[in-house]
Amino acid sequence: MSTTAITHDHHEIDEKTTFGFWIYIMTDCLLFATIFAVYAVLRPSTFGGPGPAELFSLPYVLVETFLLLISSFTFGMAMLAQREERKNLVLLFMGLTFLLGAGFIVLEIKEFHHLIVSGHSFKENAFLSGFFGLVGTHGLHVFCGLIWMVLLMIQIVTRGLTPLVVRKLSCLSLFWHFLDIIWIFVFTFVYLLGAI
Amino acid sequence: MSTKPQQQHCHMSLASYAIGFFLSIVLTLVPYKLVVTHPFNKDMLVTAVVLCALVQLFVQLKFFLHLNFSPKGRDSLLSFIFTAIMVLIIVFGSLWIMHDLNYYMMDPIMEQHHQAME
Repeated sequence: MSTTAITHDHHEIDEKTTFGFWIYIMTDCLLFATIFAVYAVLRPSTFGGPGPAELFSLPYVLVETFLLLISSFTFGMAMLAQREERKNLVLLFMGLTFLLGAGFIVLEIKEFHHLIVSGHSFKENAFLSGFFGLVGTHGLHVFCGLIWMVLLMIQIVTRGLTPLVVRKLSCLSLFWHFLDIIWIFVFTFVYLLGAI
Repeated sequence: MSTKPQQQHCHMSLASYAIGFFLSIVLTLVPYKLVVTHPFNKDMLVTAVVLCALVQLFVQLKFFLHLNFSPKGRDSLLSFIFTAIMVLIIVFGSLWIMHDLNYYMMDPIMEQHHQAME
């Protein structure tokens, strides 16, 4: 087999894999759509307790939003470095992305902890169940993305940027950008519209 | 090996990510500022904030996820449009049905209250 035939083969597998992963992301969109719908339906049911305007702090959530937004950009930079086959630069940007994502998760856990300690846990009313369900599902996705990122960084160190590793990197890139988009909607519909 | 993929992925560039990142920052700060300062009435505020989120959705789809109208990206685009329609049906369908249920199953005491008011 000549070199051009090999690269052609790789491209075909690359396209099929990323398209298959794209289909998974679309089904994940449907999962989030149902949870968003549940939250929207349950939002008025506070059972006499405080609503979103009293419970959430907007500046705090803005910091969370920026951490995730910057991490989406740094992952894009990792993808560009990968295309130029600069392994160390890829690892540097992935490390940055990981730290930003981890910072987001820490802030989110602190927010949840604060709510639960001050007596607003998911057991209090339907609105809080919907809130913890929606934001928690997104947080769980980000957490899984972080684990995936660490495993992939180990593979980049041990195996280098082989076609298989690059394919996995493209899928994680789709996943990470997708989570950022979901967060925009959480930020808008839960926090911003909740504060109006 | 290095020239061919670059030609195929020419839409994925530093400029594309930088523009997407800049627009996303603006489209996050503008609705935030609007909600904090509360410059106009509630309906207009809600419309403006939701509009910013929708514009940011398309910005990120274009500049970060590189969704486009090229023949190669057709399958991704079509599956995305299908998903978007399903999402709208799920969200607005649920809200519509639950709103109706709420209306028809109104608490009898509340109903008496409503009748007394009329």
